[in-house]
Order: sequence, then structure tokens, then C-alpha cells
Amino acid sequence: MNPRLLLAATLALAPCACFTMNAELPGVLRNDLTPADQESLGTFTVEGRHWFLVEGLFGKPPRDLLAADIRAAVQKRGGDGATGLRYESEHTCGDTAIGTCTLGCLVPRTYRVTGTVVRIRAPRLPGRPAKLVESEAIDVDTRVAQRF
Amino acid sequence: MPLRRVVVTTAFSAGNAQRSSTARAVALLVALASSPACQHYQTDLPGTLDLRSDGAEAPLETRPLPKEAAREGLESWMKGAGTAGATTVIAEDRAFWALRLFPLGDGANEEIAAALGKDGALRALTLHEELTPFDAALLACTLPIPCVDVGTVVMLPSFTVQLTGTRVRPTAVPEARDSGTAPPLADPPAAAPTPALDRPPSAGAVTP
Repeated sequence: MNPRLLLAATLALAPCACFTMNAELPGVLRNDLTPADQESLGTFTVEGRHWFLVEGLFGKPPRDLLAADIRAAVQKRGGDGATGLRYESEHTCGDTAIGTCTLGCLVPRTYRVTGTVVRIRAPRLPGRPAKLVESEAIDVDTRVAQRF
Repeated sequence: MPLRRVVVTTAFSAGNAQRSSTARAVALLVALASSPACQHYQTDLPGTLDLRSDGAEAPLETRPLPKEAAREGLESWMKGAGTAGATTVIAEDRAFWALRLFPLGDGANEEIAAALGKDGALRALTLHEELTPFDAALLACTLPIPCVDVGTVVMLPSFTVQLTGTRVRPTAVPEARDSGTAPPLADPPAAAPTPALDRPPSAGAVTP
């Protein structure tokens, strides 16, 4: 094979790593609640960093990367849910530095969810409670390690 | 990134040691620009996440979404497929950055709002973010095209973000079944006996 063609193909396809992330969100996302149905209990931020291998080709994050921490944050404030949610994902400066230093072998990506914990006055939907958490909280790194 | 590797190697290899410091600085700048950079994606999620229930027993919403919510053709390539489905819906947004640093899209707020509807609800939510094969193919196919390659280098690769969920009707649990966490109601106070209207009670009255 022509080496130049091979190099061009490699250069073209190499940045196409996956960085695949599947994260479940707990509970039900409802659009039928009015501000009068909710009482604000304060803001929260949930952050999870996941380490991808080989330019993001390997190492999918666990599905509860965000869900467990959202549940814990809501439970901690004694709320029933969260509103004003904002999802962010990025390679932070630290992630970029690590990715550059390791020449792409290890590239972290940071995921963040912010919002406001609320107590909901409206009746709940039929189903099982989604805000129960384990008695001992497990941090993201431990969950990722257990998964690997 | 191999591109970054190539640039860094070119700037600092022994054969290029005689090059000026300006060239090294430029090479470093290019290396940083071609590194993973931020690729900062941000989107607001409309509605309220209710954790009191997973909505597993709520009635499903079977009415299809309006066709305007889905995108087709070139618009679908540029902005993602929009929102499609009836009961299980997928809200898709495609994110672009300039030099992988400055976001060019507006997030998936509009798509998720379309999936939710005016007074709807979504359960079994999954947030999915990926550089899909389509994103990779978009990069690989446009890179060899003259003139287009500049835009490719500046704006690609893109990311695809999806929110998948099951539409349910927000029909509340009847109050009798909603007693899982609420304290039991106290017995209502006993009603006072109604006095007879025609004969007001008196102290000397004798009850037969």
C-alpha cells in the first residue's frame, strides 16, 4: 500500500475516536409542573470524570456515571427532584494536558450536571421510588474500577 | 492525536533543532489547537426531574410527535436528526466547535422540549454522547476535498448527543396509593350532635 495514502488515511481517521458515553438519568422528566408545585432547596453540582483509552476508543463509562450522584445530591438536601438542569461535558485543561502528555493513550473527559434541588408538591407518577440510594455512597472512581 | 504528534515531533526532533524559536512556538500553538481541546458541550434540560417515581406504571403516551420536530436531509446532517418517535423518542443534536474550542451549536434544549411536549413526561432517560461513525465519515470524506478541507479542519469532528426516553402521561397516583411517605391522616373530629330544631334543649327536659 502506498505509505502516503496510509498516512493520509491514518491522519484522517485518527481523530475519529468515539468517546462514547451512555448515562442514565434517574426518575421522570416532567414538564407538567408549575413553579407553584416546587419549592427550591438549593443548587447542586454533580461531576464525573471518565478516563478513556487510546483517543477515546476504549473504556465506556458506567451507565450510572451521573444517576447515582444526582440521587445522592437530591437525597442529601431532602428534596424530591431537581429542576433547571444543565448538562455539560468537556475536556478540561487538566484533561487536555493529560491527553497531550500521554499522546492520546489516556484521555479523560469530564461530565457535569448542575441544577436546583426542589421539593415537589404535585402528586407523583405511579411507579417505584427512584431516589433511594445505597447506604454507603460509592464514588465514581470506585464504580469505574469495579466495572473494569 | 497523530496530527499533534507529527507537529510536536517536527518541532522538537533533533533534525529540526536549528529552527527558530518562532517556528517552535507556532508549532506548539498548532499542536495545542489540534489537541483534544475543550470540545465543551452544554445543554439545558427543560422540565423537572422527579425522583419520587421512575414512572414505570404510568400510562404510555402513544400519540406520535409532530413531524416538524424531526429533521431531514442537509439540516439533519448539520443539526442532528431532531426529535422522532412515538412512545420511545430520541432527541438528537449535533455539536460543532471552531478549532474544538468554541461551541457553535445551541445545545439540545429545543429537541428535548419537543420530546417532552407541553405537559408531557419522559421516563427511562438515557443521555448518550458519542463521536459516531457518521461524524467520523463526515470528517474523512470532506478532508480530501480542496477548499472544503479548511472548514473540515476548523469545524470537525462533530459530536452527536442524544436523549432517549419513553413518553408517559403525567397521570398522578390516586391519593389512597400515595401514602408511601406521607404520614397517616388523623381521624376526623367527631361531629357534634345536631339539636332538634323544633324543641331547643333545655335544662329540665326529660328524654323519653
